[in-house]
Amino acid sequence: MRVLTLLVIAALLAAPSLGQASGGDDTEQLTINAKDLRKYFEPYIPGVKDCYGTNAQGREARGILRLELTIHRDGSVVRFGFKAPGVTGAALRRLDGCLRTLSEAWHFPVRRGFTTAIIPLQFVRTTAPGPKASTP
Amino acid sequence: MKRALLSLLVLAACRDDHAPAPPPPSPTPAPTGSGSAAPTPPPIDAADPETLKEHMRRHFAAISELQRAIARGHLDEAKELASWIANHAEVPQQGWEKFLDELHTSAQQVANAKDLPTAASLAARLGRACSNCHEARDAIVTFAWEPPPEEGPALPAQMKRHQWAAARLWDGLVGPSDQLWSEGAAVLATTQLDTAQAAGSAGRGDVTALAANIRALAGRAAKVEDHDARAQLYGELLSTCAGCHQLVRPKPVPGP
Repeated sequence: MRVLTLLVIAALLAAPSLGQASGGDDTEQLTINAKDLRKYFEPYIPGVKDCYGTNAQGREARGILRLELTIHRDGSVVRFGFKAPGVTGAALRRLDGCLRTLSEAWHFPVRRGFTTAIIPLQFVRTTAPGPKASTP
Repeated sequence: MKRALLSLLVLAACRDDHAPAPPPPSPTPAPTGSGSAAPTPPPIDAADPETLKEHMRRHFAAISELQRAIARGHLDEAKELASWIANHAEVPQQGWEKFLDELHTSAQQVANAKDLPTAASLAARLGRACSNCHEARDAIVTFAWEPPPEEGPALPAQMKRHQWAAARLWDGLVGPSDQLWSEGAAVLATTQLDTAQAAGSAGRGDVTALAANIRALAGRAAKVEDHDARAQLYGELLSTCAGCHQLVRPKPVPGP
């Protein structure tokens, strides 16, 4: 028996650090920078991965997900969009519903102005041996 | 499983963090005098990640200011900025060479441009060079954003909406971001211009035609999905903006 495993390869997790994250609300800063965005988005990645893994199962799904967020100065997400190449039709609608619901609960640090953010994610579907896998 | 883990490691190694910060209020490249060589900023310490981040911010600021200079009719200023982008010392990062070459080549072409329309179409390629790199390296990109200015019957309010829309199109090109590109196109396609007020002593018919051309280009922009095609369209838009500004203000307005 073999099981499908979805690995998430997120720029958020793998990227090296550049500078220090500010660590919280800062109304002196106009926008959220990439560093802070990475830090605050990281806890939301498992939910995004579940949405993609559950709803983007077709062979055409390329494992690429580009999220586009507009973040209010109060830290809430006021506009959400995404691109998922290869995911179409009913699967796309289900993915949209799943991600949009998640995004309503996302929260980022307070800033003086609005921020738009583009967050690329990649998923790799692998076949891993299950507990009862037989050897040839 | 081993192969899967290997894929993970290979892809993870490709990540970087060079997302452009929001554009600062003024360009950072040092100005040059007439006929002088391109400005030479201090050497970059590649080992210092803060310096790399700052360097990318300077890239974005210079390129954004370059295309704003074209829109304002300042060809010389745009060429100076292009020359700086083409010739300044880069931060050596493995895997960036192809994209930096594309950036430098496009910048050099802007620096050699003979007129504003040529510079405008080439400037759009600079934005596409940025987005090619962002896409290939899975960069997280953030921009400052604000709601579109209110519509109004007076020309200043209308031009503010034009500027806002052009900025969103630019961010959408550089990101790249479908959302930003689409909202820029939508606002530009629907904002009316008081061409009588805009024309002043210039021919109203010409200004009306150019304003109509802008709306038509914005309408096309809303339907274009290919990023290279968007870059070409942005170049046409920028060129049309610059042409109109030259018509109504033969002497370029000062920068911000």
